[in-house]
Amino acid sequence: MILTAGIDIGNSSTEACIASISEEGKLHFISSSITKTTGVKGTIQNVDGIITVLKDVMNKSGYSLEDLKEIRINEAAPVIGDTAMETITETIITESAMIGHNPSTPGGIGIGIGYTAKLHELMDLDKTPSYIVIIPESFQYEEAAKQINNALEAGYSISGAVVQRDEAVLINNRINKIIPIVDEVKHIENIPLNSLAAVEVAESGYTIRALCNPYDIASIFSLDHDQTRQIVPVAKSLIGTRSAVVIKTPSGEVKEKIIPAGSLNLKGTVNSSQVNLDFGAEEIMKNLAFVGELQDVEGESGTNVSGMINSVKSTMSQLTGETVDNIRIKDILAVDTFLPVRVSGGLAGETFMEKAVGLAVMVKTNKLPMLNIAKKLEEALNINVKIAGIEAVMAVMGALTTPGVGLPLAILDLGAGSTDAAIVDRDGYVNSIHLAGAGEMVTMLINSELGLNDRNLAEEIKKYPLAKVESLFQIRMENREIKFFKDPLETKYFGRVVVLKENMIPIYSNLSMEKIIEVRRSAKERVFVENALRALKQVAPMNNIRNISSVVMVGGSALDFEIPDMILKELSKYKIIAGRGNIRGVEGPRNAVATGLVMSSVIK
Amino acid sequence: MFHKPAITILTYKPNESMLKELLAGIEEEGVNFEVQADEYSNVKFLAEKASKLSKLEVGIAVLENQICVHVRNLPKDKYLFKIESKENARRIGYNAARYVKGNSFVELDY
Repeated sequence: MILTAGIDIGNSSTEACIASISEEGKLHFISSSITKTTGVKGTIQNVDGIITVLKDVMNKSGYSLEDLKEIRINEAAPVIGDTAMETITETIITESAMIGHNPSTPGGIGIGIGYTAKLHELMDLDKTPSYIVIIPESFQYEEAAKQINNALEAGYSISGAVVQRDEAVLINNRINKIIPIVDEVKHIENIPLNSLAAVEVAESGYTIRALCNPYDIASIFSLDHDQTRQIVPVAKSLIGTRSAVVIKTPSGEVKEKIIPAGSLNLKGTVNSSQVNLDFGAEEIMKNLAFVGELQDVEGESGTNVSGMINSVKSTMSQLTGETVDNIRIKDILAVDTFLPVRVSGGLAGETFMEKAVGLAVMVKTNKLPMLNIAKKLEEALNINVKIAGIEAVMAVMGALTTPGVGLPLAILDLGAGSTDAAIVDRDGYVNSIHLAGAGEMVTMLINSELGLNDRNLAEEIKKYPLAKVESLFQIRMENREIKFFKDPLETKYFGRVVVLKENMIPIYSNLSMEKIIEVRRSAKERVFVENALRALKQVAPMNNIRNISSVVMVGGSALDFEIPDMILKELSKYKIIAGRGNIRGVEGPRNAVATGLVMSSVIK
Repeated sequence: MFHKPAITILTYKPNESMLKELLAGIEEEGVNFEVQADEYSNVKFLAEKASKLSKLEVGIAVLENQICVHVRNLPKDKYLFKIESKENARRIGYNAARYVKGNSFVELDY
């Protein structure tokens, strides 16, 4: 009997399994393990992770490292992926023309129109017009209320107030007239004085009506047609808020500026195609289908997109040691997305959702230095290391150990860096493809679309369902189930949306659970459902997805709690049987390649 | 006599400026409160007593310069918040009211 190890180095995890082989060539699997890949896949740094996972898998097996006769590693596909994102619109507000925000507790109700004036300077002004009073931090609510009441008594007409502190309700409760009051306006000093302004606070339970309607804004400020067109982005950004302020400044101007994002030049075997990034992801993907097998992608020089493509290529060249000129992009996945971008000139930290295009690219290098890894590993352990076979073939062999599958079979390997597909026909012939865009891109989309600026949190949101903490003792999970706790939850969780990991992770932003779920699911759909279809089409006989009868999903992202279901639902439209793999009947969708590697030592 | 649902606040020789800040915090969040003077006691005990009197199940004790917030379904020896200086008095008021509304708490500034 001899012991053999199979090791699969992936973009994010390194997996191993151990099997004994009897003299008759019978395989008996003993143990398996998984660890994080150290360094970038295909580089010397991987050796540390390999040794970690080997030690662990040997520990579990009850044998020692010396008993191991052979280590088999995969001929990793020489492809590496990277992601990037670029905004294609930018909204600029000059001269601070609006405040659109949702203080948790605005005061009063209704819409007020008037000229902006500082409260403490009001008494020096003319009594004829209506005023919107500006109340800076230096005024406490009692003093502010007193001055407003004095001014009202003296015959001034005050139709609204903008307050820096969080004191709108306190002021409202102490003044003799009901006026809309918006508070928590951080940069109150930037509000232009003596300008016509409108303040609106909606009834509780409602959102504002007038200031999010361009024609209402036009009526209030007597705007002509062109000016009304300019105000549209303001109106748009105020939709759904409970309170808002719009100020007309002499030179006030809001523009939705289209940044020349540039165009992508897709070079294929059949033809080339120039696509403008502004047209969005759908157009890029449509053009990609035209050009045949992709040979390379270039960005229009001097534009944002060329910077984006060049930075990806230079990262790849550093990793592989090849010159930038030799780096070729072999696949690209474009996804429409949006980014919350802080508005320059906003007064309360407003953000706009700017349109953006996210790109995942796949680069083919001449060869990954697997030989170097093998050599280094051999030196470190003094065990025979063999580069045993093509990754896709190994994955298919491993996937075939799933109970209930048979030839012909297609596999979808849903990884972190790439989505791969392979198909094996009745004669054992394998056809495979690697596509750009997988788990890491989903994380990128979640991170940017929710404005988290926290990749780790985005990763957790991707992996686990959510819950809302409804009281100190109970949470409501996203499937509406309730879970109770014996001991009171920490106050940091109360009222928040949390990620349901073993230790709940609170999300410190005002995003609703529904919003986060929507973004999470749509990111997964845009990347994995799109790529599953794209990949299967390309490996299917005659490129027709209907010629595939069954699909087994493997890889880390096949463990996701909703991605396999999404793909299953989509593929069922084509009458394809699809499901998550269960390698050797015990591993779930993990360990397919490592298993295939060991199997390849007895099956030729 | 009909009482509107309110947060009950029991006091003993309260630090007036802390009490005022506390009440401002509750008022800004739009929740009712009622204040009653009580006898000298332990601040945690007084807060628990207040929570039993409150229709909203939230009780606050202001004892000299200590403030303690208790909610009825917490065990006797536990409390939601407790402070001994003025800086966070307004925020404690926000949070007592936000508990009633089921909103997440604002962070205290230490």
